Amino acid sequence: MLNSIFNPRSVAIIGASRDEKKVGHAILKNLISSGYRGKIYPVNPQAEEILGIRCYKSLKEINMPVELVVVCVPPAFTLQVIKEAIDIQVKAAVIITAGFKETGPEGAKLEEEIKKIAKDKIKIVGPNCLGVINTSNGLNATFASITPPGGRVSLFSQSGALGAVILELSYSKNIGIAKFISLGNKMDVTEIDCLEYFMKDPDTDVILGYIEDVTDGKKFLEVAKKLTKIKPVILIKAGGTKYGARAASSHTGALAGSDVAFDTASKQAGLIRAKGIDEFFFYGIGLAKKKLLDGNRLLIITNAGGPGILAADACEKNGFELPVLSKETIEALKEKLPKNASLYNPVDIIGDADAERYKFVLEKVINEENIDGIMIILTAQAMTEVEKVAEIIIEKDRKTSKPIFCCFMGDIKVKKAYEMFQANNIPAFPYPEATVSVFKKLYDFSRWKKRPLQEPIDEFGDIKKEEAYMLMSKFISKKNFQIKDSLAMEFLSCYGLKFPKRGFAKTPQEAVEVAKQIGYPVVMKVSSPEILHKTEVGGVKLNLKNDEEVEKAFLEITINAKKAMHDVFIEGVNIYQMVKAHRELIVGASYDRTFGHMIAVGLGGIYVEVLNDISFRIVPISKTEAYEMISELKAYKILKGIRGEKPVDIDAVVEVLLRISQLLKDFPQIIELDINPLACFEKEVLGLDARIIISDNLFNN
Amino acid sequence: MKKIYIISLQPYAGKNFSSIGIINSLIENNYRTGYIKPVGNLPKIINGNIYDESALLIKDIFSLKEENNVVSPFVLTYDVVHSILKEPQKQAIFKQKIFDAIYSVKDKDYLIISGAGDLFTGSTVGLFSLKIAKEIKTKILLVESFNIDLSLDNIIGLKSILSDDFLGCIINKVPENLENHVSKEIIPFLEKEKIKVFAYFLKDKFLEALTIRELVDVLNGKVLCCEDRLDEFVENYSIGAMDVDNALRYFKIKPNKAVITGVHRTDIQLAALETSTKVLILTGGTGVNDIVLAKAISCGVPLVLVEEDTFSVVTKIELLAERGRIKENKKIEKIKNLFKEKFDLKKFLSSM
Repeated sequence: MLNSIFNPRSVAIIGASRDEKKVGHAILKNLISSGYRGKIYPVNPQAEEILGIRCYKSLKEINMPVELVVVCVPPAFTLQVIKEAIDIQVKAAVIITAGFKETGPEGAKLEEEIKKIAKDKIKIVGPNCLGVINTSNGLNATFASITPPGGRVSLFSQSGALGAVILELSYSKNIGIAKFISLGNKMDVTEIDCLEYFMKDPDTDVILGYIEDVTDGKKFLEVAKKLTKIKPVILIKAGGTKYGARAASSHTGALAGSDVAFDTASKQAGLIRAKGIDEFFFYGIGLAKKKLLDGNRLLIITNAGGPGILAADACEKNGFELPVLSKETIEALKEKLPKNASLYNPVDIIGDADAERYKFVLEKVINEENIDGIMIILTAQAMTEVEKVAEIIIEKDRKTSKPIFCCFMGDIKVKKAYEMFQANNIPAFPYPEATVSVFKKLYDFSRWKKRPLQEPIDEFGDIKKEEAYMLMSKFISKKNFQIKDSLAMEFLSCYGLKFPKRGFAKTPQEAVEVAKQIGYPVVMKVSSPEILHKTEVGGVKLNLKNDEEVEKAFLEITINAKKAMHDVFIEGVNIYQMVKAHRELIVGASYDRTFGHMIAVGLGGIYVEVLNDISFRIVPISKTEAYEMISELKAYKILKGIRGEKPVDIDAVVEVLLRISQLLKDFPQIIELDINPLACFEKEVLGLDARIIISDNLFNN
Repeated sequence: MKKIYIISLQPYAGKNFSSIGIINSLIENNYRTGYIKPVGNLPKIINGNIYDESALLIKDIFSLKEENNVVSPFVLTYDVVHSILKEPQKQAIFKQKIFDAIYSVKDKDYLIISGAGDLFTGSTVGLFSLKIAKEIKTKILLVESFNIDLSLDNIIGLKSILSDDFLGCIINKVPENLENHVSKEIIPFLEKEKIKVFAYFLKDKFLEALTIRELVDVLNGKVLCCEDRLDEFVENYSIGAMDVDNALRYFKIKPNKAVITGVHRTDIQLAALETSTKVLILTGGTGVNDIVLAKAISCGVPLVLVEEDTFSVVTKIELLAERGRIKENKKIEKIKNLFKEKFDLKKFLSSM
């Protein structure tokens, strides 16, 4: 779909300029100097030729097929240019020009008009963007100050300025670029189009992206899930904090969804999230090497003790193991290495190590069966043969399927080595921690690639959807947007969720009758639409064991509630079977404006805010994902039973999650849902309280 | 001619609302109906004379032929109160004016007399509702704005004071979630106590709603776009001072709302524009974001810029909203329909 943008046979620059200070000049100059092999047509009614190329008065005057137009005329002329481009059947346009929706109502109107006429007729990148680059055919249709080195990493950026910076840094960071696209206002081409195109692009091994908002969360997730099975995608998502989101909203007019939702979506789609620009480059370099890391066992070879220890620390923190080498290998190493070398892992070959020593060790360890990846640390001493070592690594790397990452520390002395690594696609990083963190991302990606695609959940046969639908219609017609207590339980029961025996009473005498039917002991809670926090107003009594206690509790609850809140209407008292949970969990759901419904499970009880042990997924979820949600919890070990304690019924928790996932799919009007606590036992789970918030489709759009 | 005196124990209970509804029901049943508000409390100057604004509105709605000084013979103003403080004997002049007006209404089947404010409004002139009603031998209709703790006592208490002079009551502004309680428990109980309830009405956000124009006026705001939408009604208010995710939770469950937020909070403004919002009130002066302005235009939501801070704006709106007046045709039509649907006219007529 984006082929005409990256591989056009001809490019017209509308607004090409003789003035060196103008964008229209910079773009033409870049196109020429980057060695673009297609036809170039500058368009400018006032010029005969620019930079030695014949200039045309208008698009029509070219009279030859034009595949791509790059537009850098003022906004007021843009609409006309696009109309003309459509007339002569131009396939795609890159609108560099700024001054559209980012500047106010008039700009927004103009952008809308262009969007309307362009629909299905011409692909549009931008407006308000830096341009596009394809290093494989010499297309640099940007006004960036340089053309980046060629390579196998492709990049999209919602920020033009950041894009330009990344292109410039690509030299010093030793990263080669295949394709670059600046998305600007995302009028037409979005990050999703880029993902889809780069997925199939034979020149791209790794995809990097900078985004501030996701255009269509559901579609993004769907595309990303497929793509990440083929190629690694590394994203910076800005605006993840409160202040960041505010800054992003005033910059682009887009509201970012919650960062938790984006993080969750990334996890579910196998996206690799970089927190900053350094990580962005490092992950890109590490994953561009198409080798996978099959296990979590690393070997560190170093000529320096301290960095070796730092690397060992980082390995443990990231869940890697540093196995001891086999007896035969250790014996072999012992023969040639100096006495004070360390033969275990990290293998420390001492500061005076020459290239031969690196080569000897690498040869001996490279086929070790219990090692999945190798990290080679080098600090440049006066006698260190830096480039020679680099050469050896490049050679050895070709002969093994195991990933080898280098960590050559220093500056001037290792500069040449980094260039050699970049040219030969050997991942190399300046610090041990950075190197290990890239290994971690590679390991995550390798596991993700092997993980089967998640199947959608099966429908449960016992769901009473009709009944739930009737209840929901009643809530909405009565404008009852906050469903609580027994009403919420009744609704959720339609989806097979289980709650304790319960009843309702308006007088103490009725309460006793209900309690007897349920069976002692019971719990009593005040029932009032206006009281949100029942415990705080003294509206809850636990463990009531007989008739007298129930009668007394009824009076106390109604008096307490009235005392705490004047003008409050008390419907009566809800009575529940008293249940003592083996463990308490919280199950909930919320609605994210980008990705839709999100389901959560976490450890319940009184420390919930402190421990913050909770895991999320975007719905619908698969059974595997439901299990993963629970196993991600820090409390997982407790749930499985520690020190002889009985485990809880994890299968039943999984079922609750899947049933809620189904519920959210069927009832999109639910914007919040809480089952808190979910009492867990060895053989079942019961919701002890529930709350649902619904929205009567109140969105403007 | 039968007379009915409509009173309430608190202001803003719905006396105008009930007057409009009852008069309309009577007229539609071909009864010649008159209206008078003996003691006015909402002064409006017309040609140098002072009348009660709501009395003139009702006269206007039903095209009543009586003169302004008949439907509104007397209005409590600063001037009146102070002249009585100085010269108490002036009370007699005002009294006379009121009674002359009442007795001047002729050729009607029914005369609806509306009280003002609360039970004792007018006492300064020596004339509050109960006193006038007694002198002209009129039964009392109570309009009670429902309060869970007070209403039952109010209704039963007034009945026991007035005895046979108590015609019955209309229960107004019942919160939606108390409808069952009122209709199935309170009203049957009152009927058993021989107290007639002619209708109950739910609290109606639309009737209490202000128009955007009213908000703009009271806030002295500057309208930046969508001026053609100023006559739309605002039914809810949200303050956008929290995180945007939290704000969205509230925004989604409040329809037809005004969102009041700082001019710098573009995130909140965009969130509001995504949900059912009638107007965005931006506090704190200048610097509206252009992207937000463009979005507001495309969504048809007026942006109103005000100088004051959020707190002052909310205080002003609260005061205004509490006293929401019935002026617009849409509201009047709604009242007429509500009475047609829910007011027991037969029972009302037979009890006089």
